[in-house]
Amino acid sequence: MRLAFILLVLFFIFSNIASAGGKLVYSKGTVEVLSKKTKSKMFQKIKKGASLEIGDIVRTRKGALAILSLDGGSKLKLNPNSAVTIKNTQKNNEEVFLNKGSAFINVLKSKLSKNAKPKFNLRTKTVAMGVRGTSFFASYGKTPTQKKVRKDIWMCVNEGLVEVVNVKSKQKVQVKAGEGIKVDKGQKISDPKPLAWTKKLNWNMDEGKGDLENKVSIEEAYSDPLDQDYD
Amino acid sequence: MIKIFISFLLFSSMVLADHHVPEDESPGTTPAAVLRVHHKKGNTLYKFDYEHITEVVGRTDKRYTLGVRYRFFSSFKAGIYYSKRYGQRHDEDWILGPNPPKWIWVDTDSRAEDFVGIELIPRTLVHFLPGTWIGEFRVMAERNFFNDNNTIKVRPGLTHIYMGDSGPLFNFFLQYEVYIPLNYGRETIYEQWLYLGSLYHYSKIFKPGLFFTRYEKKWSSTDAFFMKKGEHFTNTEKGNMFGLSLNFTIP
Repeated sequence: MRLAFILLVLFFIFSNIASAGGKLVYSKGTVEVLSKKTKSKMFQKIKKGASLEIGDIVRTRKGALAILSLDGGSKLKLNPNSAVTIKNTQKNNEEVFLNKGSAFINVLKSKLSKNAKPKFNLRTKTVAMGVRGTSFFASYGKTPTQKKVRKDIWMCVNEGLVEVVNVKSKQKVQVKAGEGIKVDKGQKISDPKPLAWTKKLNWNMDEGKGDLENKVSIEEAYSDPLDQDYD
Repeated sequence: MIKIFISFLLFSSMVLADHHVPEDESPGTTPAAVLRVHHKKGNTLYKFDYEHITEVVGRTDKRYTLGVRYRFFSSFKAGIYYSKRYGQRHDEDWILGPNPPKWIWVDTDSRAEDFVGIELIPRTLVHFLPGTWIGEFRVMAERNFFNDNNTIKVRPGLTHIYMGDSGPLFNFFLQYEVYIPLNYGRETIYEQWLYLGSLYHYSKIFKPGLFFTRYEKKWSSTDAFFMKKGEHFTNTEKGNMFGLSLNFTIP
């Protein structure tokens, strides 16, 4: 009996290790994965319920939407034409790399204190975002007209606190709920401030609570409402 | 009885003939149209505006404005403008006309007046309101070279922007404007305007709009009038305008 119990516990532990990564809990349109495990060089289509592993690259094609549930408890909504690499899914130490496009991240709430180490890290080519709060949005900006110029990064926080660190310059900025920042061409992180265009972002990640699709284009971030005339 | 009636008629006509204070010409609701052609280059906006306003039936106010606005900071713009206007009415336009001597408003429809002004436009997003709102406090200092009148115009306003998928789609604005005369008139506030309007952002180039305006203007006696009649008057004209605006921004 005792042996059976130990075997059962080991089974759960190993089955968790085998799938350590996450799961695709919602998909619409074409969602694909480049699996590290199979060492395939081709993206394969995946459907709701597909298991994901550390090192996997998940991408959405035009018009597609995917919600990933990471084993550490966090959720990630991947917008159309976006891709992420799952780097780490340990609880309180999750890490995802945003390869392209944009994503909403909803980090499992815990009792972490304000000064605790970030429990979720989202990295891009130029900045790392350490999350102590619960939900935020990050996106690459529009494609630069000049080659070899890095894309802008936009980020805004819905709840909690996000620390943004420039990988190169080590500049650090803390962004509170309701505020956003722009990293202009991967260089300086702007001062956090409320951004009008972020007010209509669709933060919903629960299929049962209505529409999941985010209709705000990142192009809107470049349309400054204070720069236009309205009378 | 007939004598009394005739005397009454004569007395009434004498009173009317001596009617020396402007009558209330409040016109109800009249039409207006605005054409704006703007060109934006970096932080600089070049503008041409034409306004066609029928303030009182039979009197037309036409304004041609050329200006430049520069965005110094994200939330602050300033500009200068030159404006040629026809159909402007001032206190001095209430005159004693000849043959027979009668107090009348001068017909100013074809009289050109030159204005130069500076404008300061601080604005900010109003974050505590749901959706996208912009608060603005526009101040203009204007000189009319026709009669050397200097006026400060203060125009606070609130705009609600309904954002579409790729930028503003509609906006609604409410503005209140006061004209403060610096070197003329007997009133502290000469004119008051309340604007309520909407703009449809059809494209980045073309934005048509509709607006409704309620205004109140004060006419007061000039020194010449006081010298002649030995009294002062203040007359208030109130009206509404319903207008169409066509706004073009040339890239």
